[in-house]
Amino acid sequence: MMQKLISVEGLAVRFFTRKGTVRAVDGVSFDVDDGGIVGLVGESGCGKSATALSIMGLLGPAGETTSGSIRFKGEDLLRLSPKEMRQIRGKEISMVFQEPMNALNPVRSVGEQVAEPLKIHLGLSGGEARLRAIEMLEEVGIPDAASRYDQYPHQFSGGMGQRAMIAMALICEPKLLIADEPTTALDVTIQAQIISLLHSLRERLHMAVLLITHDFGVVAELCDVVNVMYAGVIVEWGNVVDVFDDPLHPYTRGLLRSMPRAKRRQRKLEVIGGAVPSLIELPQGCRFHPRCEYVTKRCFSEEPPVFQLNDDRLVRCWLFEGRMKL
Amino acid sequence: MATVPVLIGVSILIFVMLNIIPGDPVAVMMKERISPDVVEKVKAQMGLDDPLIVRYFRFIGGALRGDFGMSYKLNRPVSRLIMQAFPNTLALALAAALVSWLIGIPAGVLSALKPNTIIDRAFMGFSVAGISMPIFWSALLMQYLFALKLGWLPVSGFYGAKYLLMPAVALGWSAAGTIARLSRSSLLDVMQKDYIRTARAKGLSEVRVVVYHALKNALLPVVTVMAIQVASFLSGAVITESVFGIPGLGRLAVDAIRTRDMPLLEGSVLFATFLVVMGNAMADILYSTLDPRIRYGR
Amino acid sequence: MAGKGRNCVPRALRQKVRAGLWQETISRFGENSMAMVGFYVIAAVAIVAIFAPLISFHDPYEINLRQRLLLPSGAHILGTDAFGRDMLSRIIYGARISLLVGLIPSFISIGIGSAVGVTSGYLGGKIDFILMRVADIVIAFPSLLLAMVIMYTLGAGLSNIFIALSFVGWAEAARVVRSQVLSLREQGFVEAAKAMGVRRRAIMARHIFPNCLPSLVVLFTLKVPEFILAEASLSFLGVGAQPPVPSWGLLVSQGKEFIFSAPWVVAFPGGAIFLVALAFNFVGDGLREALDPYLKR
Repeated sequence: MMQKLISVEGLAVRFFTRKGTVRAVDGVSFDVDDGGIVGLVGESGCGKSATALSIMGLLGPAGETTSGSIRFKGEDLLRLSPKEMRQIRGKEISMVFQEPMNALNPVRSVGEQVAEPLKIHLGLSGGEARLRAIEMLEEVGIPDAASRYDQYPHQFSGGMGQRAMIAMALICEPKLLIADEPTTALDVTIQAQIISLLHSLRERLHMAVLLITHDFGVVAELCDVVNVMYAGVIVEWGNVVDVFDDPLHPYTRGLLRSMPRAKRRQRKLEVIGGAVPSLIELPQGCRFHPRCEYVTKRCFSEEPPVFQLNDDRLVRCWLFEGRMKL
Repeated sequence: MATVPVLIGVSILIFVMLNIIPGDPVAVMMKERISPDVVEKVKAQMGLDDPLIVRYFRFIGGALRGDFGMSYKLNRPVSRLIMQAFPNTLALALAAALVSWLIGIPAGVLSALKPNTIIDRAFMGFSVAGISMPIFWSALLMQYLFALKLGWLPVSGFYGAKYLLMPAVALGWSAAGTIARLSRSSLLDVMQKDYIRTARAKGLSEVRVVVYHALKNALLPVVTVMAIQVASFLSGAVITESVFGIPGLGRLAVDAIRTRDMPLLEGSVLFATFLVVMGNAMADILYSTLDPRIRYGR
Repeated sequence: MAGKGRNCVPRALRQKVRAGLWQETISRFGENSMAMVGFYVIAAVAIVAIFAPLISFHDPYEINLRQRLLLPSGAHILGTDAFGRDMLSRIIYGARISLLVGLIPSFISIGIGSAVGVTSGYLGGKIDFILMRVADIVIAFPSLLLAMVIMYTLGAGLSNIFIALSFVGWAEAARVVRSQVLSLREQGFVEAAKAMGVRRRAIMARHIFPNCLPSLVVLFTLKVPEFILAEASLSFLGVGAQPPVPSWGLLVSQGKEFIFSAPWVVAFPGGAIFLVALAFNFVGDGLREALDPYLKR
């Protein structure tokens, strides 16, 4: 069995807003193995990004991690001082964001931004950092990297910008990369390129990836294991192939059905009715019951626990009662 | 550039406004009673009988050569009076600008970094006070306190750096309020941006995040306002100059109004507005050299 | 039939949104203590100004040369000026001038400015170009100097101050409104109204202008103190209100010769200007914060 790189246990994140407390993440547990690729899938507003930001310690003033633990190489990140956390960010754990054009600083050259982690984490001089950054830019497939080093983000296309973001995140060869919707803002053809780039870089650098997306297609292409998240909790966990072939949770089924697929012939694209519930006032019982087609009486009042089907299959739904309860 | 048409419009507006008044400039010029014949003669000599449009072109032709005519009251070329006044105004403007930056930028930045704390509220209260303060009032109160009661500084006049301190603070404080508020809101805005989160995700210290990633973005719009403000100090230090007896451009305009000296008023207002328009143009240029998005095109 | 369908649905929707906007804004404004203090100060000054004859013990114009430059005392709470006139009464009557000179030109300049701005932004083309160049010219002037020149042309006096300040102020309002209109023009509900065949003037008046209101309200509350200060400055320089009118700026101007012997004749009227300008600025800031989500949209 592979070793766990990061282990999230019972994580809860709250945001305090004018309208009330948002329970963005409400008891989430999952692991990422050393060198593994784990997907975290769900609709927008289900708490995926909050989970990622909580791991990075970047929730901001309105957010707070209220309980749980995040063990990274055996150490609980939530107990680290801000200074210790800074030494992990960008060096051990890096993050790639959704929109490269907004995530890059418009008034600093792309090269400077890519080289910056080298200077602060590894103490490289300007010249060394520059050389290394140009190498890295080449490695992520930016042609003519030496001259593009001095260009500014607005001179990059979206795809090139995302490559630069990836170069910046990986330049210190982190153990874990958190990619938050890395392809969502890009054209379909560019998406494929970025996915294959992540694939090859992960092989070479032997890093683990936590991929956050709403797109099951991206998960299918990249991930080993997938967590399906809904309204702040993980509703299904399993091997990507298993989940794809035999989705258990009604929400997962809905997600998969609403995905266009080339292989299977399909009459029309389906949608899951209803919308993600407000995370301020969650529905009683199962969080999914207002949208669920298999809803039973029990789902209205009692929140389902996690049932384990076999060694690598978990689901949070009353339909699977009687299996092993975790 | 829109600068030239704006300047033409400005000159037309000033000229028309000052030449449609019923008051007879010749009568203003000559204190004693004189016979109507003489008045008519002088008027013809000065070309005041010509149609408005002819007079405008004469005025603008002269202005382009730096000739604004003779002051009615002081009997000297307006351009020379302006050139004598300008260095004093320039000194005051630069000193006031320095005061406003030294107070305004740090106050705005600190407030933005600690929003809704006591520091923030204190600085912002101070800024609003600066904006709400009538300059003539704060100037007079400063004179009372620092010149009369404490005797630290001279009351008024303009004979050296010591004389510049109170006027610069009086003028600079009100501008500091604007700069502080602008820097605060701009930096608050920038701190919400995705690239600040990216910078934090790289493991940068908060100081580096602010200094290296946030400040340049946040201060870009402030720089523009600062440049425009210097221009407005150059042209609009009317009150400060009057209270502290500084013989600058603003005083010239006030004196011109008081003595109904039309060419002097025309010349000094046109020159002051020219400075503002040039200041704005320069602010644009400054902004585009500082912002790579404009420097290298979109 | 068509006419009915044209207006009913969008307007009902709009009104619902707008009612929510103002309610929410007022409640958020109420939570801002500085803004509320400013609001109460303005209310108090307004009451004092309206009931000035009932409140002041002395005639503000009554000269008494035997009581020149008296220190504040029981008989004259804020002392007397160089002509022996009661300072408190003069300041109370001066509040009328300051409030009027803050409010009226703000109304006029924003009225003109929004008409120009909506027209310019919505119609675009040549009209837009010409109107905006005119605005550029007005904005190019240092505002106090421009006001001074206008006062020189029109002659000193209160009513001319209204004209001068309105003329100086409209251009900025026009620019604010125009930039809002430009972004509103592209939005769905305007496109929808256009598609439904609503006439241009109706779109401007009923769909675009109401959405500019939040920023105009903020602009208004910030223009008021600006104009109060401008009037005070003009009067201080001798080209505004003329003696014996008790304009606060004029009171300071008349007192400045006596600042070293009787500082209160400068301190109190100047303080009144400062206080009222401060109050309006607090209210303006409070409104801006309360309306923030609507202004950014």
